[in-house]
Amino acid sequence: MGKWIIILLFSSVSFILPRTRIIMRLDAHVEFDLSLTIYPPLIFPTYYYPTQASAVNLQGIDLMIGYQRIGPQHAISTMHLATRGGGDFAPSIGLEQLYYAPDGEPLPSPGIDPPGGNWRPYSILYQEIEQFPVRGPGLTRFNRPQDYIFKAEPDDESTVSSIVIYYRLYGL
Amino acid sequence: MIYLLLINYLGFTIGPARVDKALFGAEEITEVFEVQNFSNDSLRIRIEFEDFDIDEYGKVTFFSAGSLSNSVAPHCIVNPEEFFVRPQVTEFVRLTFRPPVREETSEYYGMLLFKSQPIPTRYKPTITVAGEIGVPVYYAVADLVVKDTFFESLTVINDSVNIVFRNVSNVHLRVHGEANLLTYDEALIKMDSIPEFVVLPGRIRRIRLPLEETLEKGSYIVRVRLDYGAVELIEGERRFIR
Repeated sequence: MGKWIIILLFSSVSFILPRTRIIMRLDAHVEFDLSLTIYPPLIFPTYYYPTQASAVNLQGIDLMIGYQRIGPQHAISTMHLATRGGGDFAPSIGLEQLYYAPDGEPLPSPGIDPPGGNWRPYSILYQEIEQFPVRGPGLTRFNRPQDYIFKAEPDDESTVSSIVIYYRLYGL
Repeated sequence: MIYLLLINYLGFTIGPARVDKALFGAEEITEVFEVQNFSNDSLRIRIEFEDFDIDEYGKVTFFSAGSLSNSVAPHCIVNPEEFFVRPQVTEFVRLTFRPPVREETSEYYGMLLFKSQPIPTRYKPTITVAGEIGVPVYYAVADLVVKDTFFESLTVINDSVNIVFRNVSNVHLRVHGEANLLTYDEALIKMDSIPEFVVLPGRIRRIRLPLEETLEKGSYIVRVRLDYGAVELIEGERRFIR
């Protein structure tokens, strides 16, 4: 009898407690194969979109984040989305030569440095992209496809290198 | 010519999104997290703690686990720490917190990170992407908790109300409230809600609220009321002339 009372108490508490589920979906890897482009360019720096990317977003990745309320209230009031890079491409090709922006940002003209607009250089430290208020019942989704450009500089060495880009989603 | 398009992606959910509990003399406490893989590919997850700090403007900085004196990480056991989740399957992870025997810290906290490992591919692309979901974990020791706070300043400069809120508690506070713009005879002109924000122990938070209304010349009052989770509310007031 006592055991059942305890189980019932725990079950009811789980319905009362604020609970939120966080959701993240990322789709593609990204390739910058400059041998498929006009390289070297006439002017440095020149900016390149990826040569291979998401099927949904040809200039980068498709990113969807969201939340779902599974209790009477949300456990968090804001979601933070941030990104960082894992490290340099090569000794002469820094991580900061890779830029990101929300999908739709135009390609900067050659010779312009920094690229301006909403393009932000990657760093090994997390940089916040956006904050999302968390409210309302059910499932809420935000599509935030991200574009990438690579800034080619005259001292870039020839390399086949790979880095990891991280996206972090969290509440407080 | 035939183009074969292989779309693989990672998609996962983590719940609950926050753990925030007070311990009443318990020896240990265990939480269960749900990791759901809603993609059609296997997902590899590694779980790690990181410490974090929130500055006066709300900017979050992460540090390696155990960097801060009240880091929750050294007192937690996560099981399993690394695992595969098959497509369309949900796995469960347990987190057990054991506070030190001689309890001197009023609150332990940290960010529990569920780190997806990059999607495996046959070739090595220039950029691989990985997703991480962070769950803040706060454990307060109920016997030691003291909640207190005050407005360090409340000013009206140009077209904005500037609030500096100080948390003098020994635990984090979740604060929300409202700011009212009134005439000298207490007639309400405008009410703004202040969305919830977190202030860590001993820290301040600066809040700026724009005065959007085109105010005529005269005398006004700004009254700010904040709820920080204690029995009483905190209220501050500033009178100014336009």
